[in-house]
Amino acid sequence: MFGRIHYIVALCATLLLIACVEDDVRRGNDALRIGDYDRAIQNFSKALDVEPANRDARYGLALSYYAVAEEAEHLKTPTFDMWNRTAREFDILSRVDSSGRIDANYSTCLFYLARATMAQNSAANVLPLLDRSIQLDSLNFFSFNLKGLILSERGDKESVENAKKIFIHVVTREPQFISAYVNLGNIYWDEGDVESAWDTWSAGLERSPKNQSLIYWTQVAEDSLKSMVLSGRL
Amino acid sequence: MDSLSPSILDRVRDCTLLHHGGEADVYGVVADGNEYVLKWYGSENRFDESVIETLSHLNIPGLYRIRESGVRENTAYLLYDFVQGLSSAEVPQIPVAVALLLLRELGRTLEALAGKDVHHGDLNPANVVLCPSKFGLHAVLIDCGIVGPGALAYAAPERFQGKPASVKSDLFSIGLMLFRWVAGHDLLEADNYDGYAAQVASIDNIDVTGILYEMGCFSAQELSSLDPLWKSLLRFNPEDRPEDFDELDELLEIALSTLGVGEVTAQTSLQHFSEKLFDEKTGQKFPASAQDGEKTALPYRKCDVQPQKKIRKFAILGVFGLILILIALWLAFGTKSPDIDATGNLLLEKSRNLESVDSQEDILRGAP
Repeated sequence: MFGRIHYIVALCATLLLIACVEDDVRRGNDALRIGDYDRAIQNFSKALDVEPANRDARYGLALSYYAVAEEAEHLKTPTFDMWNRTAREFDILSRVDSSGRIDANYSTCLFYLARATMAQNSAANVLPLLDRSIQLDSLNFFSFNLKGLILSERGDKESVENAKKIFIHVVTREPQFISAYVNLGNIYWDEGDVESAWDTWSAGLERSPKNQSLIYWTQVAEDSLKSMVLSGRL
Repeated sequence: MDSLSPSILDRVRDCTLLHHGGEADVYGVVADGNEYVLKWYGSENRFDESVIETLSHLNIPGLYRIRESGVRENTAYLLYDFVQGLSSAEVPQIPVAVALLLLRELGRTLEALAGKDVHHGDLNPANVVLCPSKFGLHAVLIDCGIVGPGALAYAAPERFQGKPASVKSDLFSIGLMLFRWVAGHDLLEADNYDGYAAQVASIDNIDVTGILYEMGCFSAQELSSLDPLWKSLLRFNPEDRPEDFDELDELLEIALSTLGVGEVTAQTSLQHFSEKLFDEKTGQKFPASAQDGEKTALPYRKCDVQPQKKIRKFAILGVFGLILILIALWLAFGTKSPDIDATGNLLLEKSRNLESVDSQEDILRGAP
């Protein structure tokens, strides 16, 4: 009799505990959605204190850190520590959730971390981070683009060729990714291939007619081409 | 009594018949380790419910404690704490000083009862239990709430006329009980109701002191101390009796004074009498314990309260558990807002908005 009572009480207590955790997660999520990140972190952490492997609480906490860091990005304040903390949280989360539903955000987090790392130390090798980011989400063109920039800055032929391939990959897979047109055109320009540079920039300008960089560099390339025609070099 | 309520009767373990009477059978019973007296009334007999109801909420020194009353199997019953002692009816004779002291104590109990508008109605030696105490002896009054005149040998004249019990009728009964205590026999003796009625009707003509004198065992001092009490208490007309128990107490104090018994002497007498009474086990002793004596069958059928208790317990637990489960389910699912994945997608969409690419361009370009 009393054994059964204990079972019932234990079952009820467990259900209640689960309900409390779910309630904390729900509150954290609500807070996160309205931008109350501190409260979101507080509620997700509270849920994790009770149930450390709770996937939603873990994901919520990672997203809260993510949102805080991204907000700091907009304010142009140092963000390395914040992205480092966020990436660590995503890393833990990846051991709890292997469904792939978190990969896109984790990938973006690693892109931001790579960029913040470089902002802190320009000599740092962030390519492994970017490769991991791309591995997690092959549609994360920001990581592709940054990897292309890093490779193109290295200057050696192989890296520059790889950078070109990356930018071409980006503009063919995502034609609206204007930055890739700019960066690819820059490589051609640096190589003296004014014609290819003009082709690239003008293709970008078609998709983003108000982009000041593209307007400027397309004009410069156009003028150079005219000059080259007039001088008989082309 | 609600048959579903947890009655002490259903928890009785041992039962001993103490007394088989016309009005009721009296049992000593043990339940939950406590000793009780169960009065199981005959089919035609019952008690005054209003009196019992009042008494069940009272805790007056010198008065028995009623624990439960009601009707079971069409039979009225009363359950009260077992009073460990000796019925005064079983004591052959009580010394005058001791009797007066016990009566003073009894008067105080009756006065407190009268203050609650309750009158005993059946004061007789059988309803006073003498209990040993650290002060020697004390009297405990039992069996209140009788319907009818009570013991005829002790009933007041107006009780024979069908009038309800009152302070005055109780005072008359006290007078007759005092006589029985000191003399060892009843003042009024008859074979039937009419005989008692006739005797009590001529109570004013009975020379009580003379009767005691003829017994030859009382000193002049004792006789003179008691005489005012007979003349005051044993009056046919209630108006001629003392006004209340307070006045009785004054009379008893005067009687003790006349007897030449001071406070210390009185107490010593009480202690000596108590020692003698309980050491010698005078007369037929009321069982020292309800657990003593030969066990008898219960006069009623016990209800097994366990299954009902279990059902109740399960019902309460079930309802409680159901409420908890509902609360848990409601908290878990009833208030569900967009899940965390939706929030994640929202943040991702914001981060990867290509509209912001232009604004990031400089950063991207200048980063390495």
